[in-house]
Amino acid sequence: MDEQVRVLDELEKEEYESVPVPFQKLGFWVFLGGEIIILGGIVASAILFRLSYPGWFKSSEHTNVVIASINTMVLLTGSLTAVLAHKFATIREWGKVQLFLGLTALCGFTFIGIKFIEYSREIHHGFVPSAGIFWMFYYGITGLHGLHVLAGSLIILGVMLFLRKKKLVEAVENAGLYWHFVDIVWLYIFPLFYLT
Amino acid sequence: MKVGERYGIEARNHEHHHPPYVGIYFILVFLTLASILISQIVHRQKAPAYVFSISTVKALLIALFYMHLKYEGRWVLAFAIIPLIIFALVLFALMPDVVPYQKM
Repeated sequence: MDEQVRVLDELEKEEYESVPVPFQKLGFWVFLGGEIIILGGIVASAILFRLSYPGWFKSSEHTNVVIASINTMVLLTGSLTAVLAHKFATIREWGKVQLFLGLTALCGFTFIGIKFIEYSREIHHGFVPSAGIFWMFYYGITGLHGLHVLAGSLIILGVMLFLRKKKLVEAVENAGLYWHFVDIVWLYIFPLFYLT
Repeated sequence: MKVGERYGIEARNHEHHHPPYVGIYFILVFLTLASILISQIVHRQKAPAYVFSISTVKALLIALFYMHLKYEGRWVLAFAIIPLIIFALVLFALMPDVVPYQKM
């Protein structure tokens, strides 16, 4: 029996040393890699289209820069609170971790709420997806991004609840990584539809 | 006990670096305000180059410091960079589809 345990331990050690990264983190980066290709490809196609389509600017004048700027600040603030949650998780201050995760989720839901107000204003003015190619890109990409923000907020909430049972730094870190990724995507969506 | 902890490897992987997160946040806010200002004052033909460049700087700040890629080992870096290479190929492959619009 002892021999079996020793052999298994050796195998585990070899397996771990062959990939010296926590498997959860590596798995999460594989997932993020897929997201980079999918979302990045969609946003890149819109950016390329914008650079070659002269009518883009006239349509983007109808989007609300003020609302989008507030939403940008909300997402950036969410990134700050997410990374602070991770920082406090590494020093085992779980009360502050819960607080900052809660603030991050709040930022996510605030973003979605503001986006709904923005959509309703645009639809009210007749800028529906069929109003032109700009609006098709706009609703498609911001809608997809909004779903990602919603997913990110739910993941953060899920981690908050999970931490009551088990304190795992990796869970906080991975949830934060997803949030930052969604934030980075918005950094390109914002100028694409509102500033150029 | 986790496998890594048993062999003391886990500790090596969890050397956490904490750059000045709040300071970086204010830089990100400043860059956002700068890109809004530039979009208002620079000619519309030139504005995209400036604002997308600023977006790239902001994205790098988040990736390097908030996502800790500056401190990660080569395994995580590889998993972050390979999709970016594929992304660049996608971008390159899409170019022929949009270039004709400039000629119209």
